[in-house]
Amino acid sequence: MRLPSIQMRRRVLHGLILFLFLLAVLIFRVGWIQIVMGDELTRAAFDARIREIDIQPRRGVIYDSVGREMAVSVDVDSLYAIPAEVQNADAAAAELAGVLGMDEGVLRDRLSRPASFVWLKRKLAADTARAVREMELSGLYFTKESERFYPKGSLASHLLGFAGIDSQGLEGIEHGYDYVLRGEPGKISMEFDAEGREIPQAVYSHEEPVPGDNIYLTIDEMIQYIAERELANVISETGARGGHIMLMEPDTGRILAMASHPSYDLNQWSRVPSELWRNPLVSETQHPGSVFKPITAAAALEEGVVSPETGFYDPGYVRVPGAVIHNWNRQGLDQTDFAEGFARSANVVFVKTALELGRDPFYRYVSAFGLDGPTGIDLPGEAAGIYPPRDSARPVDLAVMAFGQTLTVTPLQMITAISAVVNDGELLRPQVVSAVEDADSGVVEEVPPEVVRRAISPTTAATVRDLMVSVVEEGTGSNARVPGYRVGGKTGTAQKTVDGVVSQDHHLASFLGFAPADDPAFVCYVVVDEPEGMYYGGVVAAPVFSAVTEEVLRYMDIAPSHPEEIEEAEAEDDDLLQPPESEPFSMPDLIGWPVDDVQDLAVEEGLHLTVVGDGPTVEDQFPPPGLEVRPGSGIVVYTEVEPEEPPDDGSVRVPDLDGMSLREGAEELRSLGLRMEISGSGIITGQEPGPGTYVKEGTIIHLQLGSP
Amino acid sequence: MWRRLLRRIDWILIVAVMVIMILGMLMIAGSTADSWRTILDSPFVRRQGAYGLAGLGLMVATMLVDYRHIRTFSRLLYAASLGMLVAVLMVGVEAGGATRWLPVGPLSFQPAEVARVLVLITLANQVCAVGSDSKRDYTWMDLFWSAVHVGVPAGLVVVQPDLGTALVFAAVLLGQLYIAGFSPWRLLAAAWTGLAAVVVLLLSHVRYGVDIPLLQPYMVNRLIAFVDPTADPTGAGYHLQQSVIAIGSGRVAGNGLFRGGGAQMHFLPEQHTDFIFSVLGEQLGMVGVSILLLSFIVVFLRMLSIIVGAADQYGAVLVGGVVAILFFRVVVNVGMTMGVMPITGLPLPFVSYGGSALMADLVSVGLVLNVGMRRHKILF
Repeated sequence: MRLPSIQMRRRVLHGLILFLFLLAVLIFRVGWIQIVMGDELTRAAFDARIREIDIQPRRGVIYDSVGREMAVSVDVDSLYAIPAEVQNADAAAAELAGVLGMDEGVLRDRLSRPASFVWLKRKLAADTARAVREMELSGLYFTKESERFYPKGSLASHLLGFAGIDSQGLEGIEHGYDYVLRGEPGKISMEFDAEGREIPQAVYSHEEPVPGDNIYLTIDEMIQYIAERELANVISETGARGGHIMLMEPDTGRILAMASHPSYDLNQWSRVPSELWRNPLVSETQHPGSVFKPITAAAALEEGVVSPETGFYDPGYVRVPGAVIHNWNRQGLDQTDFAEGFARSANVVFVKTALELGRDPFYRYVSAFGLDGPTGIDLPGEAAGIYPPRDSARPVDLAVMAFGQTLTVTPLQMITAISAVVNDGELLRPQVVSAVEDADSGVVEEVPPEVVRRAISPTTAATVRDLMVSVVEEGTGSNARVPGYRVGGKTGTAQKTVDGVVSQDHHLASFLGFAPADDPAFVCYVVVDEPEGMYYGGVVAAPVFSAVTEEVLRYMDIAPSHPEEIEEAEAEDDDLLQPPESEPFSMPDLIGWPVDDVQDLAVEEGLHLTVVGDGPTVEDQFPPPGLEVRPGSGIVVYTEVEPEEPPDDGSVRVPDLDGMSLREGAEELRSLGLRMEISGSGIITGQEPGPGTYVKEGTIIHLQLGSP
Repeated sequence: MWRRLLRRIDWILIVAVMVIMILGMLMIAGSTADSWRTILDSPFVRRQGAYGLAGLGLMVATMLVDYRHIRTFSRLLYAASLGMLVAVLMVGVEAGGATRWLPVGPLSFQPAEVARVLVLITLANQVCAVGSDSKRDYTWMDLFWSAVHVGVPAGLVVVQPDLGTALVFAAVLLGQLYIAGFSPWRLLAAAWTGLAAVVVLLLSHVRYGVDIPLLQPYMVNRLIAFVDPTADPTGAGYHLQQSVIAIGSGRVAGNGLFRGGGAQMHFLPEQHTDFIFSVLGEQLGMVGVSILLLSFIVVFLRMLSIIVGAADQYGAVLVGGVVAILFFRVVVNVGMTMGVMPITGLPLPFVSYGGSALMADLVSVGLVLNVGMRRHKILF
């Protein structure tokens, strides 16, 4: 039926309304997308085409106190793939498997993964990277990553710690100062189309990585070396389980050397048991033994309970409620005074002194010396010792604590407390970092010493120092004497707690002293863990102190107060017949020697030789010429030529870009702060200026592109 | 007589169509060439230009013969469309998983695009009585036979498979019956029933894995992706996201012709055909989109006024079918690029690259102009 015209008009009008309504919906939707969501979607459109490649920052260098490199970063190649660009994943995987030493299946899986970026292998050896480059496979790229290298191997291993594959600090300074050393990664943004092809004239941004700042330690590499060498010697001589050694500057709290045995090669950190990684000097507590006595003495003298002249009767033992306490040698001094009791390390004298002093003042001084909590050193994982709770401490606890048993402290707490005595009574916060150097500006910011509090008066401190000098001069510490100098100290022989019980058979032999006596340059703490045979601190640890102190004083160029003794000692040495194999050997100047000759020398002298690099001749050595090394010590020679130093005017060396893709070349130039200009298309076939020339930063390098 | 007919040609409609076609050529250039200099290097631009000229020729040819004369060939035309659709299933060329192309000598065309114009003519013939208008009201049976008339060719198109074009046949049915005078409520009820059947089928497929007769898995996936674009990010949903990103990045003024990553860097799928609207949005922005949609509104207004002024019911119904075809495809195509319609693979009339569709659409415009020229009274 033909509709009447009026109805037809109505129908058409209704249809029109429906049309306009739907078109309005579409227009509203377009407006919403283009105007309201426009900015967001524009960014999304950009992001879809932009792929970011991270550039790792260079991790800061760790120097010793005078600028010798302890931990450095070297640039190595890491291999990644952009799977979309890989033409034949199966063939590429087969070819790569052999060179990379990886499973073919794993590689095939990664090369065909639906991801825009996938690591194939990180931190390749130089020859492996070269071999992969020569394959010229599509879709594979290299990026520079920085790998940590510890040129001195195991030296100061517990202190330095190490950084993992992503340049993240995992232990020691590397961990504690990770935020300083790490830097911030940069990125290169490149434009790609939907098939993953790089856009020829792609706009891309380049965000420079911020290199990590450099750190100057308080450690002196030479002192550290001397300390480690002597510690290793005493451990091999006594068959001990291990040991610790630490040197601290008393007036600044700066640690000059810090070592534990056994240590490990930092370059091989992943291959040693993780128990070795921790720094026991800050993280393990132990009974300090008699080296604690100066603290008891300082408290009693400061409180006026005793003076050096105070008389004591020492029958060799003393009864306290619940126990009978003997002297270490079970012999009494009979009628004696406090000074002699200190020098001879008489437990009876200290028990009586502590009981006289009383519980609360004792605990107060423990706190004053910072022995009841962490020292606040700038190292991770610091522990603090344990004491019987003050309110439940019985007289017998107090009596035993007086000579350093029952309570536990870390070696660091102990040396820090004694340093306060040596430093006229002022306690400082120990520190291992002396300065931070800003990587960009080169501005060096010193970390100032930090006084925590005054623990005792200078007078009392002087008295305790005198008592400690007499320990070496006329008491148990005679083996600590250093010809030509006056030194002070205290011996210790602690009983270890084994399986929760204080053992009669496991000892810590220790010596904690300072030198020179009149103007102390350092405090040195030696602990030998479970020596075989003789286990007294005065016998086992004091000679280590003596050997280290003698050499460090000479290294520090501190004039002897009694030079005549040195001549006497030398004359005496000449008279003695020494077995030739233990004769110290003076390190010759090895620079320029062929490596083979150095190897012969090392065999002859019984030294452990480490050769770094694979050049033919020695470029550098450690320890330096003239330093004494003993058989069994390690020496390191460096053969690889350091990269040529650029002229000292901020110019950079133009790299060889021949054969690289434009992207690789651009990355390379930008990492050096150079700009580029291109002509032609394809891979880089020529450049101006040529490789190896030095140019100012920002110079334009003209690249000629062409087919290979 | 010819002079009178010539005077009654709806030039506004022709100009509006030409504007849309020119925008289409620009967008094909913008998605397949990268600068003005290389426009003619693009085979798509060259071919679409040729198709356009040929189509305009066909349009003029269509206008020459009185539309009332054309309806006398209805049986022949219907048989021809069924024959083409059967032939393409048997000897057609397969591309991208569908058999849509029928080779003729060195060329080939899409029979479905031709058939939808022919069915437009034959269905109008079936619903409109010959000679003087019948007094009889339309019944459910008329609806049924009309549905069969359209359903046979539509079914042949579905199995190609080409879901989008098959749905165009349904649009023709609804548009022509509405203009013919069918009860809108009955049409609505029928449309809802059909839609409900599709939804039930889809749900049972998704929830219970029931196979859907005739529909291929990819078509089902496209419909599902419309409901949840994030369900299949690398497939249909990914295309939708890229399309929305492309349109959005155009903002008001657009990135400029040949500029913008969606088309130039191949993030858009089928950028010169189904997703050409996204390229328009990306390169010419809100300005280009507005010109296109306003031109379409002009086209529809002119066609609706021709319906009102048509000399007879047959002419009105004929134009009603053309309007339904064009409108359905504009809304579905533009809607799908922005995520308000399912991705059905329908090209945008006069804009998307494709010779068969362009020529069929120009012939349809020729039919409309034909009816308009032979109206019996002054148009409002």
